Amino acid sequence: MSGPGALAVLRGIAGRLRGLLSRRRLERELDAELSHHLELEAARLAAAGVQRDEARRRALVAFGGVEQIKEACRDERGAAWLESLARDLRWTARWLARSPVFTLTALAVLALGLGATTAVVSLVHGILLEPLPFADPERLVALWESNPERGWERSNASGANLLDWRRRVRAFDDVTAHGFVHGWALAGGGEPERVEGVEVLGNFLAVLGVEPAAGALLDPEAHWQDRERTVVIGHDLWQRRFAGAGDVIGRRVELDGVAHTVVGVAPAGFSYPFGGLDVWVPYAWPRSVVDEVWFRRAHFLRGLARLAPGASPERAGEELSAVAAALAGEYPETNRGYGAGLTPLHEWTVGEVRRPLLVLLAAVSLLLLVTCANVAHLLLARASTRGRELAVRGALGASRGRLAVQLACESAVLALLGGGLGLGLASLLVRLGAGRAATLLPRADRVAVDLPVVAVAFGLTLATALLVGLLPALRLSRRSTAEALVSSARWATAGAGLARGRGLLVAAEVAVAIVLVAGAALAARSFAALAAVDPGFAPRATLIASFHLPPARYPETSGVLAFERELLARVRALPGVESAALASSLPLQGSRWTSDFRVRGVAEPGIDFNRRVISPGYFATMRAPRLRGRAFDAGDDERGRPVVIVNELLARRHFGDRDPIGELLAFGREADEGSVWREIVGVAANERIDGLAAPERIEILVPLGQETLDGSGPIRTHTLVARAASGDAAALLPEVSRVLRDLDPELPFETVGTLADLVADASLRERLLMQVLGAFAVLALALALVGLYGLVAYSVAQERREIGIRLALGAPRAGVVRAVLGRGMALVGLGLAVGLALTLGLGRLLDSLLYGVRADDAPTLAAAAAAVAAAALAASFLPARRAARVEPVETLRAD
Amino acid sequence: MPDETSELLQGTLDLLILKTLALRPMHGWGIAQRIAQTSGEVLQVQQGSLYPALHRMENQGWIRASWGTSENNRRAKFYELTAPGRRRLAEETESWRRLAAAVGRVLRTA
Repeated sequence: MSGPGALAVLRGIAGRLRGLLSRRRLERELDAELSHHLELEAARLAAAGVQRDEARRRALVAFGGVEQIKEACRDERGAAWLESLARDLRWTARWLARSPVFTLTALAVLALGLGATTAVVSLVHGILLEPLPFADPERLVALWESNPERGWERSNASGANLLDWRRRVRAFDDVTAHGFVHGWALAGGGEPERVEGVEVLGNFLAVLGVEPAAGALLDPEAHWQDRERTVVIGHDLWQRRFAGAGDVIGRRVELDGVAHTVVGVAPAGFSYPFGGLDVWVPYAWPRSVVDEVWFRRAHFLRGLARLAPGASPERAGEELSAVAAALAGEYPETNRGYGAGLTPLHEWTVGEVRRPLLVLLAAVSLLLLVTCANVAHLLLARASTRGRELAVRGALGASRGRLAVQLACESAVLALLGGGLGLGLASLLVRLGAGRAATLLPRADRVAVDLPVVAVAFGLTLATALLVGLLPALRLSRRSTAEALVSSARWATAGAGLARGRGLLVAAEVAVAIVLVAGAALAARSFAALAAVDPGFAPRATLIASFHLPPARYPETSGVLAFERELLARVRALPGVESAALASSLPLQGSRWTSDFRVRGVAEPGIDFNRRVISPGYFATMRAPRLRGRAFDAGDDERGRPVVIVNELLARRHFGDRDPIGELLAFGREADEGSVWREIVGVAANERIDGLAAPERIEILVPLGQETLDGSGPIRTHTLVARAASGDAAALLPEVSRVLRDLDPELPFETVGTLADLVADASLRERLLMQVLGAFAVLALALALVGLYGLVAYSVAQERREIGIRLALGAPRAGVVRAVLGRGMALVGLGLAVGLALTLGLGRLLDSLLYGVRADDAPTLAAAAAAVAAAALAASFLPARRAARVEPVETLRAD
Repeated sequence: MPDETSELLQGTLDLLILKTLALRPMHGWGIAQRIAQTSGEVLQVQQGSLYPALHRMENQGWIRASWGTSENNRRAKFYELTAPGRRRLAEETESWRRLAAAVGRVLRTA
């Protein structure tokens, strides 16, 4: 473009902007200018001899359409599209404000749909999509051991095995591990407090690739006893206890009475592998531990590795298996039958929740579709009453394109407002839900309504606007102006196309509703089946509280046992306590301590039993039924005769029909002179150890104190179980806490709860699924019913004349009602058919999440369909009845 | 009103307006009258094209507007040529002459 040309364009733009700003003045001037021209023209004609009025008329005629000329001038002056957009927005705002019921309804529906979808998107994004917060997270893998004979699939590794993998597998750049979370008493730098942390190998944070916020990471060899005792603290702990001061590095603190030096601080927000970690404490193994049998036998480590550059996970996995096989040959006593493998760390962390989250995403997408259909429905309903208004505007010169833009503007404004509200709703839901579901979901701390989520939400909003506005816009712009301006009778037939569109929308809503209702019904049955499982004890009115006796302050076995017994005695003496007992772990808490045993006189060892230590009074407190024999009493301690109680499954598997009572067994695969033979004195019912739905395990119960008979240390972590006489478990807590404080002021309870909570948590996933799907189902069904009601009411109103004619011609009222109903139910039938087909198709997604019921369970699906059909019948019956009340004379008289 | 002027291209109308204003400042009606007179009543500019063109050219900076009193003692908007407008007039006149000569040559051959 030539120089002057470019300048002209710029000046043009500046002119347009100026035009935008001083519109009113320009309007006046334009008016003045054109009327001046008219005057002069009229004067010229008058001077030529034409009469005054005639001259004026002719001048006007010659002038042409004044408004159009003004419009053309305005177009040249101002930024026309910006002005018309502003006009459209003002118009939309007025139109929305004029019908508050419609606007609020549409906004509420949109906010619900978009809000729920955004919440689920933030879940999926934070948990599944966001990469792990480490350097090069795709190079990290989780390591596990397996033993098919014992039914171990992906289990913890043992210390010796892990260290051997580290030395021998070349495909690994480095290998590290961590233990389970537990608490320490932290002293130094303030009041003693309880912190949560995890024991790690020295190189743990380095392998993950974490940058410390202050100081340095642990020494890679820090887990050996001969190294200095060091610790890395969490960012939160640094801020609240040490005020974020740099001098925390090098400070000495005490963990359970053992001095550690703080060498570094973890970055803000970092808390791997569990949430809420305050400390990463290295193990303190003596160098000689690698030669000890227990170090190779006890599987207590979660292994992690970083792949060497260029190594693929498959190749590394093969090498790892080969090394494991070699170890099995070198150490047959401990490693026979054990294999090893790896899983990419991301998959390992979130793999379990991928399926449920995808189900949730599918369900919420369906809900969003229903809300879109519903709002489109509402807009169509309004559109049918605006036909005249738009026709008039068309006659006044608005092009079809402009009208379409206007309609698009309306649905866009609705969608944007609804989306904004939905975003707020989503934030609320995420904040509320994150707390509840934190125990269920990995990486729950990463779930937030952040930028990528907002972007997706915005995209969804626009898509919604398109979906919602498209149908009404298409329908309206197709009808010709003239047709719409003609009488209402003609109008009614033109509206038939509209009604068909609405009908299909309602059918679609019903289809989606039945999918969600069926899903919710299946989830409800699944939950009911799980909740009906007998936990094996009476969960009401029972307090549970766990504690841990640290070796630093309770070094001797006698001290540990004395404390435990004294605690039990004092708790039993409390007035509100009906009965109390101690147990190393409870049912539904999972297997903690598994090993092997031999029966006297039987060649084959028994493998992989779950060992628990319980105090006398356990069965009475838990109200767990026993089968035969006796329970433990006070005489069964470390001085008495070694005794055990076995469970039903063990009795059946190892003794068949014989009575196991009186038989002897010893722990350990090989029985030798050092073995302690223990007499079986009772057979207990199978407890649900790993979960309400998990397969049963063989179990051996050992009385308190007798776990030390073969030289192992005493159990230091116990759960106190106290049944309240009054029926209120929570009321016991203050007194029981006081008992513990009296015995040891520095020892708090690690976890506190009730047996009822324990049982409820065991079905938490099923319950949440039922609740969420149920909420979606209720919403979708309500929307579909409202749509159906509206459609039937509308068609009755439209067809008043036809109905009046039919009634006048003698048709029975019931017949008229039946006809109206029939049409509505035909739509519902269509929706049900499509929906059921969809349900069967999507069912496979749900199958793995259900307990006790299959996704294609016919009775459940039939019941859901029947419920939806019945509700739809009711929803269409109410407005259909009005058809019966039409007075033929009135309708024939009216237009 | 005769119909020949409806085929007047936008660029040509611009040229006529610029030329008219080159003599002296005028208001819209005056411009239309002048063009009609000078062309022997052949070119009758419609108001629907005139005023949008005037506003556009004012935006583009080739003409400048000011308010004054017209011959019938009313307030009127007078347009006058700006310096860039003068340059534009010269360019467009030259283009027109070239175009007319070319068309003439084609029409003269067989």
